[in-house]
Amino acid sequence: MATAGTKNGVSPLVERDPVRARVSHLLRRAALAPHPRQVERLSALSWDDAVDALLAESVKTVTPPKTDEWDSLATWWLEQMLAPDGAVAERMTWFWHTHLTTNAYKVDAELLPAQLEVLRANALGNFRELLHEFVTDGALLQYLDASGSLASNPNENLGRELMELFTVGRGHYTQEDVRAASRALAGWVVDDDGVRLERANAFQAPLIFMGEQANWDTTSVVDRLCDHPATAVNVAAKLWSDLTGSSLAPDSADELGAWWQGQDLEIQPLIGRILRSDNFFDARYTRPRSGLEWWLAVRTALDAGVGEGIWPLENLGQMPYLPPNVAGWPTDNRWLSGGSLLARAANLWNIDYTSLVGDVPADTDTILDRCGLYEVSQATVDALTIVDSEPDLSDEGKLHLRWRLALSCPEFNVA
Amino acid sequence: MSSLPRQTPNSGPTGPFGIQRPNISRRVFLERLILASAGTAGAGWLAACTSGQNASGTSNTIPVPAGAPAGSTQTGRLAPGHISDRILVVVDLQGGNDGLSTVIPASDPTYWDLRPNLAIDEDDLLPLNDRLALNPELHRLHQRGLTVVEGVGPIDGDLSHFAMTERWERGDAKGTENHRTGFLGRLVDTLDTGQPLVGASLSGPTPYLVSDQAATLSLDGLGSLWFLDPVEWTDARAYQRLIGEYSALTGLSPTSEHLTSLVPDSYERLIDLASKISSVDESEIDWEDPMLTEGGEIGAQLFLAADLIAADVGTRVIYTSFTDFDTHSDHQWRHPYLMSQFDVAVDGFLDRIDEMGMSDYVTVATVSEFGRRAAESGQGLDHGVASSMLVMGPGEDQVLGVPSPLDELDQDGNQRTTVSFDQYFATLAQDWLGIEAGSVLPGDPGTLGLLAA
Repeated sequence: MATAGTKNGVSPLVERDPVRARVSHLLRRAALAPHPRQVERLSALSWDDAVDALLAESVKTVTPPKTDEWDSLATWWLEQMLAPDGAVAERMTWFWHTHLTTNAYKVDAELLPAQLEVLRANALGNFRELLHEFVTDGALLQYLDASGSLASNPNENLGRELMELFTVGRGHYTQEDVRAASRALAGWVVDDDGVRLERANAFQAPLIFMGEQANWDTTSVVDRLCDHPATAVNVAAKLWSDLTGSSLAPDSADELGAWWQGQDLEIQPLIGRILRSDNFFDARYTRPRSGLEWWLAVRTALDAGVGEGIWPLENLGQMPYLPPNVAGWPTDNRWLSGGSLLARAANLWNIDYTSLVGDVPADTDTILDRCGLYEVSQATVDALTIVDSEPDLSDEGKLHLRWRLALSCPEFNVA
Repeated sequence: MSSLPRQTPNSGPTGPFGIQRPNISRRVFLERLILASAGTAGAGWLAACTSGQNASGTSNTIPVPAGAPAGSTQTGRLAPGHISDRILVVVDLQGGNDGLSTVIPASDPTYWDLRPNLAIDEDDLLPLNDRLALNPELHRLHQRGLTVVEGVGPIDGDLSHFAMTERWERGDAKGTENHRTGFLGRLVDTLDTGQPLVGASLSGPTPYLVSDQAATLSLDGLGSLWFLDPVEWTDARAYQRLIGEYSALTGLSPTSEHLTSLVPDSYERLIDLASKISSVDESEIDWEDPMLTEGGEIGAQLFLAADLIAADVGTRVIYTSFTDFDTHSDHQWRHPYLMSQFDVAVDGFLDRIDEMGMSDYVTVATVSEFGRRAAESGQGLDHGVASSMLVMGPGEDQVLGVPSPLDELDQDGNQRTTVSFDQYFATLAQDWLGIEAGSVLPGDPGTLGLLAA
């Protein structure tokens, strides 16, 4: 079996095109997938100008269509993600859904378009404003059982997750704070008339929250948590690891958080700072592509749109609105485990390459370009090239096989 | 799928690991995978926690503690099968299952005081002894017989789903050990003698199963493995062969060795595994099976678990899970529904195990990150601490553990832990699988005597 190009089991990466390799890396991280049109546009710019150009694009369409079917909404959303423009805003809308999540099976689906609008309108805006709107969103209030929670006997779900997951994180609050926050957040009702606060069911007396006695309510609790230095550290460090593929040492996270708090939790400058950090470019191919990222990258490489539907994302483990739990989706190497790779391979076997890319040259270079793989191992190049000498394959069979191999190579599974 | 060439049937009811197996085809197995992944609920996030392949074939000797049950002298319903062939199936009740609605302290008046709206109707309870009763939805398991373990929880825990789940996954009741492997991963590492698939998760990847060297796989949500099936199909054969060549790749880039060592290893191992799962006979799926029609997500997973055991690829530990136990609201509707699915699923699974003649060899045990608040809050229950676990398998029906008194709640109003969950894990490891508890758990937690009746 021919495996040219590997020596002692090591196949170093070959830079096919240094400029496009840089741009593709930027788009794999700052966008959701490197769209060929964006690669061409940004390749003409310096790194700083490319980052500026990306950050200057706002979200294309803020308001989703009204629907009471969550999968229709998800389909619309995925179409937005697949369009080449507004790519950073789309990535951040998705990032906020992984951080401030909601499960479609627990809420009235007709509430979800409004929540998505909150995420889209604030994707690159201000974290404090985003959180204020999100915490009083109808779908979220239902998801975390705050709808109908009474101050006389409050539900602790929203109070706890608001602190543990959305803001300060573990170690920065006590069970007494959970109890106090839950009281302060009580009184919301979501029903056919919309979202409203019923004063009679809200807590009306002073409470001690985060060591301070006051007449706490939803607004002041969210503000207090956004003022807490741990919130800036927690959220900035999470975005850092999403964009760079590595986690920050505690003192560096503190530094980044303090800086971000000085920026009043404005999101766009934080992204700019991370993308311009010293080792952003060096950290190529250092983290798995998540299920959704991989699917978007496949559709982008084939210029295919949503195509036959969104349900493959369930097998790939990352359907919008179906997170495994309130903490969103895992971000670790589980995305590259055996079950994931089989699910990805099965997805590739279901694609009709003839109709999608039958008129595109099927040579190795063209396919690697379309996949955004401007930096690739010799072993991957060899695997694609060997297809030519397969004795029993038709030309069409070779086309399909070459695409399947490119889309399942190790480099394409990472970002 | 129907156009694919069919496997040549393979005769021989005895698998390579020496246990009589029913006939089942790999095609059927794969179809059931699709079924499992088509299961409802937003639960199934997937991928998998493999720990890499176990190509070395190195075999660990299983440390059998002195006095471990040998399988022939039991006085229970069934004499447990030989310890070296036993299988543990874990059902994770994710979200924190309410112990007080599962095993009801019916004789304790405090229970009725704490749950004015959410107490279960006394007339419906299924008595276990003069103190305890079982949830009425668990009537099949009540009839079949089961073991209850009371008061199980973490030591000095808190009320976070994620922190407590992580402790259970790692087998670290105090949260002080910082294990890299999961508790079930350490079990399969100990049981590993080079079998193709020692540990499997049927509900997506789980930190529970992170092992050092034993072969594991998550089979949830694959949707379809059929593309690995057609050995006579030229395209597929070429794909399999070429994708296997990625195995030659290591050190994809200087900064990502951990990624590259995972990617290529898995392709090769998975294709090999799929071919091994294929070496059994054809049979039919009964789509009307209550496990599939009434068992929900957990029914589909346990249906698949029975297939996996039948496929005889050396699987000793199987992880399954279902969600929605986090009943902050609507407890009175959601919890009975979950109990009912659990009852149909486990009972149906054990029926299939019985039909295989394997009932001496299989035990099902629940886990859950915590119990729920003793007093109700509106129509729901907030996070708690201790809960009751259920164990279904051969051996005498018992009530194990220590009751957690309702008049001695902690400062948050939760039942205190009276049995550290590592004692429960020690019981499953040592009493059932014959693995010395101290080799897979911190300290020497001691066991509860699962088969000691």
